[in-house]
Amino acid sequence: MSSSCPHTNGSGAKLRQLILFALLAAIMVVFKEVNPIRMNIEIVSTLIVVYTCIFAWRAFIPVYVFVFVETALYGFEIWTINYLYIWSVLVLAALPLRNYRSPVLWAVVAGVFGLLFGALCAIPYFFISGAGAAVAYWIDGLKFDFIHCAANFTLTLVLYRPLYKLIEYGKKQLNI
Amino acid sequence: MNKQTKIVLIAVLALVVLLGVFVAVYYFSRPDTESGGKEIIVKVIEGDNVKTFEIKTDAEYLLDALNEKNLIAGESGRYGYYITAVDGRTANEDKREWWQIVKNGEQTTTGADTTPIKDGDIIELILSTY
Repeated sequence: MSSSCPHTNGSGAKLRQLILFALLAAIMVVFKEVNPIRMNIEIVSTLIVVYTCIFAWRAFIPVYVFVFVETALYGFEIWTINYLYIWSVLVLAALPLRNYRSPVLWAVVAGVFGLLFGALCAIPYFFISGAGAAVAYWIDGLKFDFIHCAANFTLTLVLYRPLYKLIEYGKKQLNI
Repeated sequence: MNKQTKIVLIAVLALVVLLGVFVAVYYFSRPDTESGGKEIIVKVIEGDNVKTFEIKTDAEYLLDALNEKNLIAGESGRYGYYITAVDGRTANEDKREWWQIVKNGEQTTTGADTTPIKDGDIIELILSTY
């Protein structure tokens, strides 16, 4: 292909990247919305871990597109404040480990994230209503955090490798 | 042992320790429950209408006692079990209605599934608006 071809030149690569990240965000939204079991069993954490392994800091792009779409779907509430930082915590935790490919390691990372999810969500309550309210909120939701931890661990253990291979393949095909 | 294996082991250890701490917090923070037979009074209050039910139960938590009488309907959420209907009356969300739980004169801060009950408790389920 010639260098003037939009498929190979700079603007083409940026366009392909834009489309890819939009698609990755859409995948997160779809999997979250079609989840028939709502109680903190989700594949979003697994997807974020895979995205970080493949795209490093650019994983923030689909994450924040996802947050924007969710806010557009459900309106701005206190959970929106949680979403503004909570998924980024997972990206930041995954970044230094992104060169490792052990599904067990990533299952543990996702599991720890699930376990800490409630504590991370309690942060706004600390500023709104004080430490007591934040701790009460966290403790009230602990049993859901246990479910979240187990679900994240299991889903990531099973899906990390196939998702990684699929998205890595797509990235190479698009020459990104 | 290569670097990846070391990191995996450290991560697994961290998860186990964290899980242990959180499980301990969960068990030690749970309110005391009373086992064995007990009798509670449940008042369903909708405006001026008050219906009173006496429930004899072995249940330790309010939800189980109410379900023995098929008195309520609801759904589980992050904040616990959320009552949506009592004695066939569904709270109308369009009118910002909700079923408030008051135990012995004080509004509970827990859902019905985590509100412990003791012999002699008086529970009021009040249709409120927010």
